[in-house]
Amino acid sequence: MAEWTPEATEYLHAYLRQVAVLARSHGDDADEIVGELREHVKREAEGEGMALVTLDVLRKTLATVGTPEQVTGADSAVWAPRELPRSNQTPVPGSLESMFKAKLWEVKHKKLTALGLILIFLFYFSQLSGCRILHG
Amino acid sequence: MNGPSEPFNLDNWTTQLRKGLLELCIVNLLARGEVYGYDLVKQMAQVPGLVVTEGTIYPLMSRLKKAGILTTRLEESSTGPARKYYSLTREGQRLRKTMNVYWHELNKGITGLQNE
Repeated sequence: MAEWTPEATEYLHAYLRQVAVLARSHGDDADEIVGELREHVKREAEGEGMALVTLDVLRKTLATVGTPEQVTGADSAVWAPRELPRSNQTPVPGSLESMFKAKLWEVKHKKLTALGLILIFLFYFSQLSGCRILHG
Repeated sequence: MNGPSEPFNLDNWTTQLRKGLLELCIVNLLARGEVYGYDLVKQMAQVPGLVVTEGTIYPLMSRLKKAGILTTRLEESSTGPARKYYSLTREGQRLRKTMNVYWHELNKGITGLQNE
């Protein structure tokens, strides 16, 4: 049995997590799909007598397996397209692009929370002001 | 002279065509008998012109299983985790016949058009 580097292991986990999220959003059996994919990727990556599966080996394997969007059909082009427009490509888990997208989401999330708090504060303030006016 | 405002997307057309034929390929491969999931994907990848991205087959098989077309059986393996074998249900065998009849009709019709 081949040994996996921590980077390769983490990359595969991130990849499978992304597949699971997308599969669930399509109403598919995510556990079954992820289980089958994990086995497929392991067989492919370890199959060529590899003693050590590195991130490079894993990336090459995943290139034939497909991006999480392709695998789950989230991408309209389910089949290996010769070229995908940049905007349709999946950020590779752990890549700068995926980290940037995660950060962007975090910032948006914080902004929405702050906006929500402000609205709640304004609502209570208006209620209080209304009461004071009514009661003279 | 003006060029076409929206040129025909041949890649998109071939993609849609292949996509629609996947289930037909799966049920025909399974008509030969029970197949290990990994081997089925590898056989699909060998079909000329189908240009399969390997991982896309598993969700399809999962959906066909959910629809009662396929069934699975686990078998212990001495070299790793238990292997999942896929086979056609009776409903799957019936569907396969219907799909093949339709495919032959369609193929005949289109070939007729090409020869006109």
